[in-house]
Amino acid sequence: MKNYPDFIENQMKSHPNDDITFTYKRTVLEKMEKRSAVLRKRGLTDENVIRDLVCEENTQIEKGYYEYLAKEKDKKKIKNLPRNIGIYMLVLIAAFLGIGFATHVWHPTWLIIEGGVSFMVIYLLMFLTAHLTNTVLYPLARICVAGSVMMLTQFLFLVIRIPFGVENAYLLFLAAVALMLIADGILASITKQKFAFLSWLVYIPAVTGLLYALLGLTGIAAWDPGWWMMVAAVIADIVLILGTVLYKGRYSIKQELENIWKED
Amino acid sequence: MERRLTAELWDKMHYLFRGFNDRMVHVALYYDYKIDIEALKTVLLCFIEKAPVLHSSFIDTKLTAHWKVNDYSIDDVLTVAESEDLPKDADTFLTQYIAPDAPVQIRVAVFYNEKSSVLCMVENHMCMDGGDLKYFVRSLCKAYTDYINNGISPLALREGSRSYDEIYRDFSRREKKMAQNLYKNVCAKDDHRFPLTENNLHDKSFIALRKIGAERFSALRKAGKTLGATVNDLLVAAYFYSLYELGGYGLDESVTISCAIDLRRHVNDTEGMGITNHTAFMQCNIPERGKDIFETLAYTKKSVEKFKNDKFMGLYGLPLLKFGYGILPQTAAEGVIKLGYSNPLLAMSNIGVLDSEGYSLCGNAPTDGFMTGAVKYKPYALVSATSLNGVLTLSMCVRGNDEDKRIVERFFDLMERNLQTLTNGK
Repeated sequence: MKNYPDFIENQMKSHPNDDITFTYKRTVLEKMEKRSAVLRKRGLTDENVIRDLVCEENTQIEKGYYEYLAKEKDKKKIKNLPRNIGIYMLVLIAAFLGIGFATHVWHPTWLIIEGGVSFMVIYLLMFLTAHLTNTVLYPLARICVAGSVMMLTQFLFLVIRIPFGVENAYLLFLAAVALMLIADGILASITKQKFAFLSWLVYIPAVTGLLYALLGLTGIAAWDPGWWMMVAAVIADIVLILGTVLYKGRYSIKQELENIWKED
Repeated sequence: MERRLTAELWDKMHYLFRGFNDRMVHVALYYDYKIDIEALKTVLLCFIEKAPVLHSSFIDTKLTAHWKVNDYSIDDVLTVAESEDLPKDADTFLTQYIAPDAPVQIRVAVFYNEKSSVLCMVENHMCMDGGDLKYFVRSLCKAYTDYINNGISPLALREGSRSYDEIYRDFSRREKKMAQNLYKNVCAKDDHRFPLTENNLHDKSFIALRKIGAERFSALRKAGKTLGATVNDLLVAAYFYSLYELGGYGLDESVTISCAIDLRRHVNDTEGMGITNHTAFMQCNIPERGKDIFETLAYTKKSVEKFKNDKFMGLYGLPLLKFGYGILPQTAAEGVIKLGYSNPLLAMSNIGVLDSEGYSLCGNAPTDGFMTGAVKYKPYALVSATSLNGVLTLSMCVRGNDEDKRIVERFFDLMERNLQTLTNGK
């Protein structure tokens, strides 16, 4: 006759009985006992049946253990986050003060602090993105990706504008919008979102438009005939649609099968 | 925390059919045996636990749809009562309606007297179709027997995905791609209707039954072999022929009856598939009545043959529905699908044989029984057919009045007469 502790121990026999494993096993046991209580409340009276049913529902305890470990790891990361941020900030400040006192060039050495904070924010946004992509909070993941691009852009803007004195550095923000769209398209494609294909159909002309404006404003390309880029974007969209149709068409049903459906 | 289940394509489609029928599927099995209620409770509870959709409510938020899993007790599901008139009590129980947002989607009753019992079951078609209900009841009977005789815990019910695309699982990659590109809309476009009365607020749901005895059904099957026709062909031909007379259709008019087809025919092994809907319709069309029922049968066979030759029988339009529900909010998807969808006015569902051994309880085979589809709202009509112990049961579930009952009885008379003509041969 099975009992829950033996059932759990049997599935977890290849793992050492350390604190984390024991906590997990205890959690599973409590879950199984709670489930048994629910079944009793619903009207199931045969204890053997309750036990068999609950055990059958928990045949993946070891798999759940790995998920539990991953969650615990994340929890640990989050728990240690304030401490790690504190250390990271101290290192940044030390670097800033060290270089500042050594060289007496306080400006633009402060960019070390700015860049360090930016990269920390980007790291946190990427961490969130990784955890949100396969959930109903996918729209938040998109915002995180866009935010990361913008954080990176403002840092690059400051670097290009202040130490190098490039006047047109603000145009980076125009490029950042294009980059945000591209990143969003890539995220949609990688995570196999329903709208990935439609996204690209919109993003290709939009990104081309931004690129056209960017090239025109910087004088790299003339406005005329630069506008042909827009025509090229529309053509690219058409090619994408046709390519998809042709690719899918490889599997189109044979004509004789189609004929079956025709009223003859 | 609230537990949710995905509302699958067919769940949403049957929800969309709420204007055409009450979406209930019904079963009644009579036994000369007193059912052990405690054992039945145990088996039933285990099965409902293994199929959580049966204790869920369908939630339509207008933007999305999902199932919300509910707490329940066996008393919400099972009714047990002593009865002086088993068929009457069974009929009253079976004609009930379970709302999609009800806490449980299946209700079971056992009515008993000194010698006999009747096991009745009503469930929401959104959860499973006739094919899976047959499997569910058969598994329930087997699990009940194993539990009582051998003390085996009743856990033998399939679990797995309820998704519509499970039917593609045995296709090759190329075939699967082809099936996923069958966007063609194949809805019936026939205006011929079953000649029931106009809708009336006083209408009530009823189940009309007609039994064709074992001897006559056996003779019909033999005649079918001689005529090169299946029982389904014979039933559909008789349905056509009876309708021309009952409905007063012109003899040269073309009529279409939609016949339910079980899409599991495309799957070699259903193991790993959850209980769900995998039923589509084929449009069986005849160009005219024909000079006699044998000519009607020839037209019917020809029409059915077209479908049988199609590897992708019944799979047309599914990707279109999936696309609609995939990209649009629930309400908008329903609106768009309704534009292109035409519910068949005349339909037939041959649920098939209920093997008495499979439905035995501790060695007690059912003495009588039937399974039937949803109660259709006029002017829609569905004829269901099942057989048990060699007896064929024709049934029609209608929301109607006494006049409708008479019309349905007259239809059954015509069906019987026409089936007899087919049995007698040319």
